[in-house]
Amino acid sequence: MKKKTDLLLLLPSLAGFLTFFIVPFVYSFYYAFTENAFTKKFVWFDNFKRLFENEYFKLAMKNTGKFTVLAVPSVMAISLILALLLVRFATRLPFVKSALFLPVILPSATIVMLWNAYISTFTPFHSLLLIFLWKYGGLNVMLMLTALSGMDKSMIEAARIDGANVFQQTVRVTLPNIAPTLFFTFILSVVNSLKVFRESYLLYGNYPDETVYMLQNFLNNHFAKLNYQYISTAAIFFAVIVYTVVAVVFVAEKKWSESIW
Amino acid sequence: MKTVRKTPLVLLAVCLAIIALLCAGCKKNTGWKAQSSPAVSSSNSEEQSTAKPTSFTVSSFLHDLFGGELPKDTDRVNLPAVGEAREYDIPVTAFEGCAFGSSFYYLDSEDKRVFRLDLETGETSVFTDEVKNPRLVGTDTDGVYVYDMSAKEIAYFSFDGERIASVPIPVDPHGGNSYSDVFYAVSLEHYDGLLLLAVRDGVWTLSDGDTEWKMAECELLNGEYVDQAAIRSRRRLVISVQNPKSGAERRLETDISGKNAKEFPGTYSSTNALSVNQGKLWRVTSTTGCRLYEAEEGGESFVQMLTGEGHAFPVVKRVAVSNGTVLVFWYLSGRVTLLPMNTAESVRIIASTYRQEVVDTMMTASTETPVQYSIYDSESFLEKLNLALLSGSDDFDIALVSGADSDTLLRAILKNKLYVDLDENEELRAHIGEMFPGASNLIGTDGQAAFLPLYMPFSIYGFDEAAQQSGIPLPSGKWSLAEFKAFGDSLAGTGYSLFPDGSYGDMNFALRDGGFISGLAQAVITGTTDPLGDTPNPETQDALIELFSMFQTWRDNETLFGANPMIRETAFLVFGTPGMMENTEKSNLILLPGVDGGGMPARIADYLIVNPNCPHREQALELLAELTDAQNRYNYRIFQTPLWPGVMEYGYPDVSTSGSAARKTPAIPQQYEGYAAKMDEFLPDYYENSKLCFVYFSDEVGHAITDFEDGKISGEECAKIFYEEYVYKLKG
Amino acid sequence: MVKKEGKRGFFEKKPGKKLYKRFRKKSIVDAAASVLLVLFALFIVSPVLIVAVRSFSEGVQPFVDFYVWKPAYLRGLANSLIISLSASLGTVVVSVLAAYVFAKVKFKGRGVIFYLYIIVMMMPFQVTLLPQYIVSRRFALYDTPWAMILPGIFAPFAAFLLTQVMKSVPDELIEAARLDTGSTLRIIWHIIVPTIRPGIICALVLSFTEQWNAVAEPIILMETREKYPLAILLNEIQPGDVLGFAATLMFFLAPLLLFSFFEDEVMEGLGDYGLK
Repeated sequence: MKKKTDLLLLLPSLAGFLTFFIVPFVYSFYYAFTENAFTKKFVWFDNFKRLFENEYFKLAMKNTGKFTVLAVPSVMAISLILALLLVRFATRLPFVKSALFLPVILPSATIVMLWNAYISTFTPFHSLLLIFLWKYGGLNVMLMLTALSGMDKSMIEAARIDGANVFQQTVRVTLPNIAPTLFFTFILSVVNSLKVFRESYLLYGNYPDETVYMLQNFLNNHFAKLNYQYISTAAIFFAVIVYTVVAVVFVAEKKWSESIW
Repeated sequence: MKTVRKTPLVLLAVCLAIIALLCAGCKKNTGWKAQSSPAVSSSNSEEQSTAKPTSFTVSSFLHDLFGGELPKDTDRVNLPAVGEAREYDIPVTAFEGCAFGSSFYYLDSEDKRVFRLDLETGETSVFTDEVKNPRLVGTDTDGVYVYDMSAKEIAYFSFDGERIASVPIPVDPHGGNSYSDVFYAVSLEHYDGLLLLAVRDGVWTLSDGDTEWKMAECELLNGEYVDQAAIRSRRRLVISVQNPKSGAERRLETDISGKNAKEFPGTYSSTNALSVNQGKLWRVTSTTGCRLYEAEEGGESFVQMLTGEGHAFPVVKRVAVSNGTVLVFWYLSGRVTLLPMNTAESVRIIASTYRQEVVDTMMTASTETPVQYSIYDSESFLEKLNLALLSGSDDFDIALVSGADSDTLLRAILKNKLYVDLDENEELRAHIGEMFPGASNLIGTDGQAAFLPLYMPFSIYGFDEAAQQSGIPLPSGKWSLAEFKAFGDSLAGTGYSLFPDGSYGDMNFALRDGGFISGLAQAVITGTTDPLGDTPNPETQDALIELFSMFQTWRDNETLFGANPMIRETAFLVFGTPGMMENTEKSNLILLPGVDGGGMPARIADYLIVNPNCPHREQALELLAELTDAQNRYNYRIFQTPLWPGVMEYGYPDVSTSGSAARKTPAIPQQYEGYAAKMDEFLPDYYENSKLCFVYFSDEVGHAITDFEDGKISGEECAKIFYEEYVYKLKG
Repeated sequence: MVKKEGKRGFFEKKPGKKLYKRFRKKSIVDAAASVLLVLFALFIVSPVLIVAVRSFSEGVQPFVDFYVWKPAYLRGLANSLIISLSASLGTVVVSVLAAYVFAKVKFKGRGVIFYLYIIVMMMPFQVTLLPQYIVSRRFALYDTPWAMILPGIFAPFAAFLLTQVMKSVPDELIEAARLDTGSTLRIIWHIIVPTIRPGIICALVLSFTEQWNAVAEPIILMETREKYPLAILLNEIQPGDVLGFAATLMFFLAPLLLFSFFEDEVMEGLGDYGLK
């Protein structure tokens, strides 16, 4: 029996979350519907219209989408393959684990300092992609490794006995079993792919090359211009997109992990 | 089981701790002043009761038990409140003194006794003649302390003049007793049971009841010596350290032991007097007049000018602040002045670390308005300013914005009308009118003055003597793009070019990387767009293409850049930079053709804005009015390029003179005086025909220009790059 | 600490590869895969090694100069430690409770709220910058460590992570515990926390790292230099400065050490409990 008072346990987190994140977020909505940050004129959806007409917003969304769509599956695929190949040696080499985690712990300024010499040989977009893979590849490998090693082997044995080949075993049995981990890794990687802005800013400044002009550049620059209404409008739009994507993935993951039963 | 055994141990430890504290609280009364308790006489009882609380209170109990400190707001000077200035005369040979209550005790270099000036009546009397050679005097709520150089001791008197005790001065760590040298001891203070004697090498303290002096080991760098010291509280001292060779001064706040030193922020001028009272620290400097500063958390705040100097030097030796009164003792001037303190709130200026000297100069230039400034890290300053403006904060009154990114902010401020119309203050309006004749469109919109520019990157072009003697008809003043085209075409085959190629004159750097070209592009863009608009004008691109087609023609027929240029940039840096253009005196100055048929794109790099939500609007405007008056507007430390007529008067105030800032180091070397006169004539035209320009280009455009000059890309392509960059910055 | 039954560190055999049946520990393929893994790790670490080597190029003196004698550095270090430790400890405590509710307690709107957490996690910080600034000023948090600590405590990341972790705790365990005691808090403290201890430590370490490396927030929400955490002070070091290399190296030594101590738990926390 679950007590209704259990809900109170959520209260501290929720209260703080509301105060420091939701309320500010919602408060900024107010700006999305006013003419600018200083007059209180209510202008309905004018700001949205102007936002969508701004070619740099479109460019930013395109680049951000492009980057995420390229980066997240890449890093997940690479780490998954590596993990599948290396699942035997998860605990044998202790220092390796630290090594794989190291890039995540590094501050951005250091990363930029480290990579300064190499990035000139790549286009800006590929440089950022490379930095992202380098930074989070190790983390994802470890994520997958531990998920794989904690999996129940007997199902794979059963499938093997049934005559499935390696590929089918992997896709039909292993992956669905670690679907929750995959979901978790996916969300994490999307969040991290947005954080690449820090390195981008340090490397390319406020007005980078057009191929790496991302949503955060747009937001930053308009903040400097005191165009706060653009920022809140873009935020609302972005939130809607994120919500949709996450919902879709969540449903897919549920269906997939249930399919093995 | 373990936890059970722990509890008794913990209790035991706590008991021991309490006992230890109790022991420490009971001070051994064997040291100096141990037997002394000042004789309470009727005339002084009032003074005594304001000091230590005489009745039993918790704070007094704790104070006695743990040796804690007196409440911070204890008034240890207790001056009489005055409604208007009072001036009292004392012998001109008075060189040192200290105040308490309605008495001022002073020392006379001719008459080796301690004297007393009554601050109510102005009468002087002898306080005591029991000292052989008094050099320093200090007061506290419990009596008067005198440093006797011949007797090598510090004597302690009650307010009646009765000697109560004395203690020998500390022994010089280098051996001997050189502290008895006349120049050695600089400050004597007593506060809340702590006696302080500052000598040039260091600072000594002695607690009441102790016998041993403690030296505060503050780090003195090469050649530095202690100039002043004061007791901030029982645990903290303020020390002012000077380097006589460089004139630089440091102010430190340290523990009694000299550790945990904290540098004191403040103006760059040197301290004449320090004073601590009621928890506040006061400082007097004299570089631009005798000024009183209050030291605060983030910096210093200018309070007021000190007036009423005596018969000789306007040098303040001692200052004391209490009860809204400022007591000023003038050194060897024979005067003590009591002034009412300026209690107006100070105007707050904020700036980034790059511009600290500028705001500092602004503070030291103000004579009427109390001013205070805060400095922020340059990285975060703009962001913080943006946040403050967006959130309507009333944190600051004036902001000094600087740097290349600042024009984004300026544009936003103008667009959103986030400013105070400087014309509200009549004096300021008049000054602005004198400084920018006919240029109201430069410093604001709709006829309002929105900001005050401090630094504008200047580009002035002209036809030098050679060009003027070339025989080719030269345009003058304003000229349209069509006239520009005609002029350029007329150069074909003459051997002359429009702009210089490579290095020229004494300046060994190339202007070939497109200063002119991007200047003209900026002019065209500025001329065809609304500076505050959000959408780019399609005409702009056409105009740019037209411009670059002209350039391309001239590039191809070799009249764009060459060794015989007609148009040169004449004013690069006026102030003291050698190697200016030859023949600048004989240059015929012109405006660029792009802006509205002849005019200059004016970019503002540093400027001052007044916060529309500020709490001290009138005072802020008055401050600006003072800063732009006839004397201050030519202060190169604030306004950094010759911006207005009267170019010759630009200079640095000469800080080596104390007192008024009458002396100035001229900023324009003699050989350029002719050119300066020419510029004076030209400036009104320049301003009238300038338009605010918010276009700035990055390196990418620079590469495009180089490619264009080298023939790699066509004019049209270059124009498109310019346009794209402009749109990027506008909409991205 | 309750160890799961039948969990092993590694497979004995790789499924499907009949080859492996013939070899045991010291097989060639094993060695090859080991080498591969090590090489991969080295590749990841190589830029850092280069920096480390370069920072020692002038000997140990720069380290000593920088750390032992500069009070500004020590103060920044203290600030960083205070902020990061408080925020990470706080967030773990608060998020464990929240995670319990998200994972085990069904209530209306649970999904919506959880989604909200995820969405906010993804928002770029410029969106909430101005309102957070206003909030921090109104609550007088501006220019205090609390301006960093409080948002850190209530950041959604740990709640998200711990919810995933919590989902793997079997319901039967909780039901069984409920027979012993009715108080949910005691169940959490005595049963659940030990079970998911690796997950908690993982959340702790990752939150700590996030706070330790944060540069954008302190710059906005703090003013006085003495209160700045180390991340900002080090931001100002010019690249190419040997001293800077040394400083940076030592700077991320802290989270690195923390992580190394808890390596195993972090691994387990992240991976193991991704399973339902």
